[in-house]
Amino acid sequence: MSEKEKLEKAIERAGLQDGLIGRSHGLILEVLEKGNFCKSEIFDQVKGRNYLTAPQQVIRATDQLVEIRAAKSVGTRKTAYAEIAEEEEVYQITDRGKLLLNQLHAQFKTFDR
Amino acid sequence: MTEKYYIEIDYIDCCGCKLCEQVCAVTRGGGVVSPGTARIRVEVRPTLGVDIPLVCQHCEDPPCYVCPHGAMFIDNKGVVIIDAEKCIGCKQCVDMCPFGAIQIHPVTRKAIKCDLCGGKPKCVEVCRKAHPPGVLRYVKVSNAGKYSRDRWADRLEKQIVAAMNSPEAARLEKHAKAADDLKMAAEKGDVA
Amino acid sequence: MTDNGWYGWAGTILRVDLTKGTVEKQPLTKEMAYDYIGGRGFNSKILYDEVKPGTNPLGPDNLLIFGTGPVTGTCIPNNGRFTVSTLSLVTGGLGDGNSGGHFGPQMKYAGYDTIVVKGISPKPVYLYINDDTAELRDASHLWGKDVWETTDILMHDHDNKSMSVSAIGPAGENVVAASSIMNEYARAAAKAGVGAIMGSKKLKAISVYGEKGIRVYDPEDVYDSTIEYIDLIARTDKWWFETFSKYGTPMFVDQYNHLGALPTRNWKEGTFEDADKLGITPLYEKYVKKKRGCGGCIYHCSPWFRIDEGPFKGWVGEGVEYEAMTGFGSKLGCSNLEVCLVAGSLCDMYGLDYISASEAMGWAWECYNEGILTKEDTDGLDLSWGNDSIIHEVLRKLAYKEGNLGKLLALGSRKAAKKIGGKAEYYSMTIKGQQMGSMDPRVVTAWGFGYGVSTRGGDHLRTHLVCEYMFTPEEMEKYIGDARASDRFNLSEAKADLVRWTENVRFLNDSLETCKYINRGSPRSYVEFPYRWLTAVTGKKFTYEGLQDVADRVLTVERSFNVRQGMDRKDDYLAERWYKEAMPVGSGKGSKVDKEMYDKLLDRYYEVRGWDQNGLPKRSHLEKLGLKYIADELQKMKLLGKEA
Repeated sequence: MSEKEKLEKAIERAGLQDGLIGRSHGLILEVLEKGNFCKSEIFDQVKGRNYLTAPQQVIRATDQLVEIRAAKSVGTRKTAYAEIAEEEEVYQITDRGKLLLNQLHAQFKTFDR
Repeated sequence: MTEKYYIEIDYIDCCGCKLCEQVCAVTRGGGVVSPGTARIRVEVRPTLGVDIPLVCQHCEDPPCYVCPHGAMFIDNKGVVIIDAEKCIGCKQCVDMCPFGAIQIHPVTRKAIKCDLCGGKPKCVEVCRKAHPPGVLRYVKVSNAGKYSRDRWADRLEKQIVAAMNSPEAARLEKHAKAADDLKMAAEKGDVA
Repeated sequence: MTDNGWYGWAGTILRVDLTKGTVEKQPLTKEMAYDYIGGRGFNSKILYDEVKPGTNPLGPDNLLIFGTGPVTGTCIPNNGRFTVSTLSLVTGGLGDGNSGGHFGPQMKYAGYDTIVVKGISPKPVYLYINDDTAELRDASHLWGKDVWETTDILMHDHDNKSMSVSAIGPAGENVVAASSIMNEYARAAAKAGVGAIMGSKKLKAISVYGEKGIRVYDPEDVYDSTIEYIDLIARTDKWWFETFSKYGTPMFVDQYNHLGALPTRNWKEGTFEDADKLGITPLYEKYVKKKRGCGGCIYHCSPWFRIDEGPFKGWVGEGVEYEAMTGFGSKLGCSNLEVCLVAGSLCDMYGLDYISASEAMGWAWECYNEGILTKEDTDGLDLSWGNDSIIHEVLRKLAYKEGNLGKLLALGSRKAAKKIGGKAEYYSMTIKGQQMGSMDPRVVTAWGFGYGVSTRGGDHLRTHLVCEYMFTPEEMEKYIGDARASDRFNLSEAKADLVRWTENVRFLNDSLETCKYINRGSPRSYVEFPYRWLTAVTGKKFTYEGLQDVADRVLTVERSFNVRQGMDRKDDYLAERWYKEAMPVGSGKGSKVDKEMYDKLLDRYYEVRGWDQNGLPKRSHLEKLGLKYIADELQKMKLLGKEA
């Protein structure tokens, strides 16, 4: 199976087809391209774009990326957000994530709205 | 006889949701969903914050095994089984169980007890899913005690670590620092 | 026996007449079951049909209805809920409160879907239910006792520690507007002054125990769908599933503070400088000993606490909910967590709603700090912001209607503010007279709109719009049709559609009777499971679209009830402060609710609901929902909505 097919299959298995992977995920992957970050750090970098105005949106979108293996957890770090956890997981983009990001760039002129 | 199992319970962490009781009644209640048709029941004590699951302990020497009518037998897994056809509802087994784990079904009027769902107890599954890792465990009798030891060790571990960071330790640390300060002052000639 | 042909539903409505002293059993009809589902669905329909305009809420003709749903008592996730409905003395319209614990399942196991109480008892009584036995018994030995004492005595007298007891405390007996009906010591049906109605009827408690049971149609799918659902939430709402199980509602103190939505000093601000003293870190460090859950719960969110040292040593309770920490904490400028914990337990014993009680207090605090209330009004108490030493005393005064302050607060903040007059009314943060809890609407705009149009008055649970800040914009686009609904700061037209969608799916929680925490950020949890559960439990085939029709029907019945009571568009607005004052601090600094846009949203919302521009239901819509008789009645009263 090609990498493209594996990505498609993963999205389908997770029930995230039909446009459920979109601009929000592109914005998150763009952040992870620059480095490894926790969810709260990712939120700080993308907030205000594509209607992303609450950390929980980014938390769930990041979990979706992890589910389809476009991102993975590479450790933990202490953060200031008590209800997320004293220690948050740190995420890294995977090769599949880079492929997905390319696809999203091709699909959307811009991730902003 | 093959390896014997039982349902091991963490009494401290049970939250009293009764999902185990409800799931048992739904799947094994003979068509009637009620605490009276469940083979595991939870007693809740909100003022103490205590919730207690009560179920057949699958005793090694079962006091319930007294049926005068031949309705009980022990299967090849060591589980006491009640044959509903032969049961006359005399309640001798009900009276003998110290855990109250045998009930009379409100509709069939026969004695009912846990039979471990033939090897995949549903109460254990729902508790594990809803409240991971679950307070009910399907455990080999040969491992009885292991999980209690693990749990208590985990709890004590936390307390011991907290004690290591206690005011007592801080006091000792302060003493050590005071001793250093005194030493420095003495070297400077500041001691009375 | 349970063999009356019903699956899911028990098949019986209990009719209690306190004036006559009678208890009768009425069979449930198929029309009621299939067209209204249960819980709030049944309750609101019965209220509309039987409580006529002009009824005195504290008189014998008002009804107090306890309603469970068809899945209550099965193993469907979080099925342990029931709704209490009445004509509210707080709003003058439809009022209800929803509670957890085990009372709901016990009602079903004993054989009853709904209990309808009317009349006024000449002497205090309690309703004793044990399977087929349902009778009124003398409660003179219980009258005057608090909720915890009452529960203990009933369990002891009936030698049954497994029974469930719903009771009022001194607040309900004194017909205080903020009073609640408690069960299992710490679970509450709290809003709309339902406790006051129960007190006015001289009904002290309902005790219930049942083993008769109910039936389910497809036990295999009931079980399979339960396991699949838990797996779905664990996977598609992972953060929520893990974090909420661990921390419970106190996590909202931290979370809302970050969102800039934590009500602070009577809603002046949305961030509290001492929120970290009231949040999960200090709470779990010292006080929480155990987590507990309601019937069928998949989270065990309820933190059981004990204070081990200090001035409140020995206090225990489960009153450790967000509304206690914000209500007696940030709303009053108080940063003492122990004061909040004990205040919660006091409310549970007195039978007071945390929200309504703390809101009345927040109003009084602000009026005092602004010089509108004097020390004479407050019986000499100093209600300065942050003075936590008098909070418990004020709560006691409220429960017992003691002194000038107690009598004033007992009216509820809207009536109390009217009594004082002037700027006091501006500080009463009520909607249709009902006090508010939850999040500041200036930074979660769809929530605000939801508060305004809620059929039971100011309320976050008709919508409980966590989807606004938890759905990804992609999910919002797929399920609601417009990603703009994801922007919590901007009140766009998309919010009206979002509120309508959410009210409809939330009605399913209130009618199946499941806890609203089972559906949060996962869209599939709202859409795919309720109809599957209903079908598996009852044997009648339900669909998502069909349930949307039922939701539309009940929302319109509730609206019609309020319209008959004299409400219309003018009552669907928020308290002035949220339009006028920009949020001064926090992540939502500068935001306020755009009134012009709010009006546009009302227009759109009424349109999708089938009501006219004044919020009155139209005949075309009523008839489509099978409610011609309501159209005829409203027409006679000249309250029918104008067709376009």
